[in-house]
Amino acid sequence: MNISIALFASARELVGSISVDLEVSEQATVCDLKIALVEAYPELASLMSNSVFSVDHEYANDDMMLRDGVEVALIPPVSGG
Amino acid sequence: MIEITTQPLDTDRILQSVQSDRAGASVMFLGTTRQFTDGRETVELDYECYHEMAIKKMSQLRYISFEKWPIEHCTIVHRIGPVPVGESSVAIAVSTPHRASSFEAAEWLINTLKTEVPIWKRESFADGSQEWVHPDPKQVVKKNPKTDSEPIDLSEAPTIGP
Repeated sequence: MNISIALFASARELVGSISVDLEVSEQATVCDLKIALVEAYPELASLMSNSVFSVDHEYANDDMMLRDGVEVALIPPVSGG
Repeated sequence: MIEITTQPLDTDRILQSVQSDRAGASVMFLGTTRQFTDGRETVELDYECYHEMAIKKMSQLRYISFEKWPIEHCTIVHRIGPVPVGESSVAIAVSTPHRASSFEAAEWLINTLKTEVPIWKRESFADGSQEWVHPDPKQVVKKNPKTDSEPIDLSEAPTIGP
């Protein structure tokens, strides 16, 4: 299935796009997505260790299974306020 | 009230939004762009957000603060876009019957907003350089041990509309 990942802040700058699309298996987890993302975009590697994913506007653990149509975002360390 | 705005913060309106005859105290916190940090001169902060999730997280924070303290009203407004030195990026206002709760709640809200809400700032320095601020999560996070001893999980919290 195709998963679109929204990018923000330095991730957006490193890739040069507001989102990227990745093809993953139907049983893919967030962890699988992380690995696929770094493989496709190695420039994100250093940012990934401190970043998390969100799925449908909630922070997601590595073992969360993805479904077709979920809204995924890469959340680098936040700095609001 | 929960808002994300591109406009300068209307602090009168924000303070007015928490007024209540049942509140003997109200506290408004403003986070402003500071000129000097560790010897470097900032000229501007530029904020970006994941809008829907930021609104959701701010709403969840607000909901939890009502559970932790006897809050009458709570307003959180975050500004996005460029915020020059001396201007405010975030306002948190609360009102409670007595002042101790207002101080504690406002402190907890800003401390938690800074770790939980998907908003990021890019710092522009006087020397022309720019960098995104991505704090190391392993660094010790500012917490008040009186009010902040338990780990926070907002995901189960409902959201209350503005």
